[in-house]
Amino acid sequence: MDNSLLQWIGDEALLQQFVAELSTPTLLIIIVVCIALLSKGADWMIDGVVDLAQRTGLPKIVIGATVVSLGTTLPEAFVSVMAAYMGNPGLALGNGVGSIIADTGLIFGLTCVLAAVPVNRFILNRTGWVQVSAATLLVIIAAAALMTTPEDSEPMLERWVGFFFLGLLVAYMYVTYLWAQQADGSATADNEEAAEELLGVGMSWLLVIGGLLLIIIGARVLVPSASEIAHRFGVPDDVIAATMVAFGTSLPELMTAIAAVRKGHPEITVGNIVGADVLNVLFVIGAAAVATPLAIPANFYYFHFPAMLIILYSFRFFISMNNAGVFYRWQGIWLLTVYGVYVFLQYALNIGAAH
Amino acid sequence: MKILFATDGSESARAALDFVQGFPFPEDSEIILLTVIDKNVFKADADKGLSEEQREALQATEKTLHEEGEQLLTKEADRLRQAGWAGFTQVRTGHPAKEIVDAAETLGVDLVILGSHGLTGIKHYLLGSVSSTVLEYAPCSVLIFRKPQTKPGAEKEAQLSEQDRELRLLLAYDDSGPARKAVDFCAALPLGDRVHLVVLTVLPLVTLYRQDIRQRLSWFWHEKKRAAQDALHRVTKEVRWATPNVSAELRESSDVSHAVQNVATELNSDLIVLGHKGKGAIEKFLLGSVTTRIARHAPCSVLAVRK
Repeated sequence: MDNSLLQWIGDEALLQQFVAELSTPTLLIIIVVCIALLSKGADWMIDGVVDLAQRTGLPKIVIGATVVSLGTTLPEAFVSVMAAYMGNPGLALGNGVGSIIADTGLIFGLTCVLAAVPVNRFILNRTGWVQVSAATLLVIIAAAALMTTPEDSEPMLERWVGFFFLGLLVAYMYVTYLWAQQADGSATADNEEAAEELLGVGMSWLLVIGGLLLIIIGARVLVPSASEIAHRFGVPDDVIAATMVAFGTSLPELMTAIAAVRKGHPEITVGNIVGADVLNVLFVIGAAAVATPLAIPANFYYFHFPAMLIILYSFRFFISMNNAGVFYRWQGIWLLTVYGVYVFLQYALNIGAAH
Repeated sequence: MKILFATDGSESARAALDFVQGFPFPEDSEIILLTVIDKNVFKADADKGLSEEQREALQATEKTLHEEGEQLLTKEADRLRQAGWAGFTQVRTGHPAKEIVDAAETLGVDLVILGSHGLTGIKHYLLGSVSSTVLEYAPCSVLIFRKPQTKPGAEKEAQLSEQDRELRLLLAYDDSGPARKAVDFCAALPLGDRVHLVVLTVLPLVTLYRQDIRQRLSWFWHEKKRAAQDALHRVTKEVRWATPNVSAELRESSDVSHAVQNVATELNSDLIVLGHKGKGAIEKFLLGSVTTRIARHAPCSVLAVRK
């Protein structure tokens, strides 16, 4: 029994078959359970992060940008590496770029509308630059590939680009660690919150990692179950693709954002989004390019890359203009609008056609 | 065609020889029978602590084994000669897998044939260690014989001689260089009427997080599917002159090697033919080669074409 449970989680074909055989009420129950798992996991993780922040004196935003982001980008990394390896480079690249757009446009936009998100300039000015630079670097390399490739063949992200990105990832991790050490002594506003009874270090790590696991497993089962239900209710495949499937790998980020806002720590979301954007380029696309060189479909140049840059530079611009120390609600609305237009164009005009 | 047949007198090896006799190899093929005496049993050279007597006993045993090997080969060679095969025999001493690969190299053979499990193979493992090492390192094509599971109704068929029996081949094709080599290999064989050949292409589908819904809708996928159909059409035409019984199959799956095995089971295939891809270190690390996985789990014999 244990073994077959593990297999369902590891083997998608088995999972899908299992889901397809269930009756509709059972499926609905599974979906409810998954959502409960997701939100419970996110709650645990946020509790763990807050506790870790108080204990170590690290700002929550830094923990959000590192541990939390690494966990929440795992599904994207997994999908992209598999897609690249199985000869679907468009899907691999689309996943990385699409996740950046969904995370920053939809999830961060939503968070800004729902809560007053503090701008921690000290951190955002540094990690925020890495976020924008990583994406810009990706576009520059892609553009260079386009210009150096002869007309009749597709531009490629070669394997060395993948290794280069992974190298940058290591450097980024190290620099973040150095920054965190600096922040240790200076900006520890977080710590002024009354230090209630703290959990043990082990316990808070357990909460973070256990929470992440619940989130990842929940999303893993939720996507096929919800797709199956939608299918039974007659929702056309392209609508499922544009919503549930497109969004499936970003579910962990969304649940984290909701829990963070609910528990009054929106800065974790900022950290998570910024960190996830960096990781989507350096980790997700980097690992996929290492698995196999990625061909860049033409629609990336006139559709996905521009959309990503618009969203990221808007975000960057908002950070530098917010003297009041919080993100304004209209800024969230702007990000949501750009995201909405992107999804609409992708679906209605079909120019992004699933890639 | 120059064939190296490795035997250790095991049941698996004997069944493999029957299979070879029934297989439509070209008329002018020659077969070299090889047996390897496992050196691991005789570490005498290294052991200086042995008395003169013990050493002599060991040498005597080795000699007996050598003679037994010769006898085995002569018996099998007689069987082959009666069936009209040309060729010679060879006994080597050393590590079996290494000696088989060495022999294949020095003799310049086109194909190595061996059973999936020899005397040293523990049935528990899916593929014996000698077979998997030879598959990995041989400089030429490798046929790993696996006794098919007895199917219902197979009793009657078994009474037919190997030469008359229907032979069902499954050619796994993915439009890559090695796969084209496998097609050439099949097209060069005098397959004839009793061979049924199915050319199979499996398109890999990413099913994680239901990305397959997205993938199936994209133009990229449609293009890929059309290209695969065209390629299948081309290949069936190419092999048609070797045997008239050719058909094509196109499948979609998240696990290519699994899908190939499933189709082989479905069609009761006797042999899966595929191109052996020398994978880079990164691919091997990530997933292992499809060829190795199919050879390991296949329900029937597997021919990995290389060169």
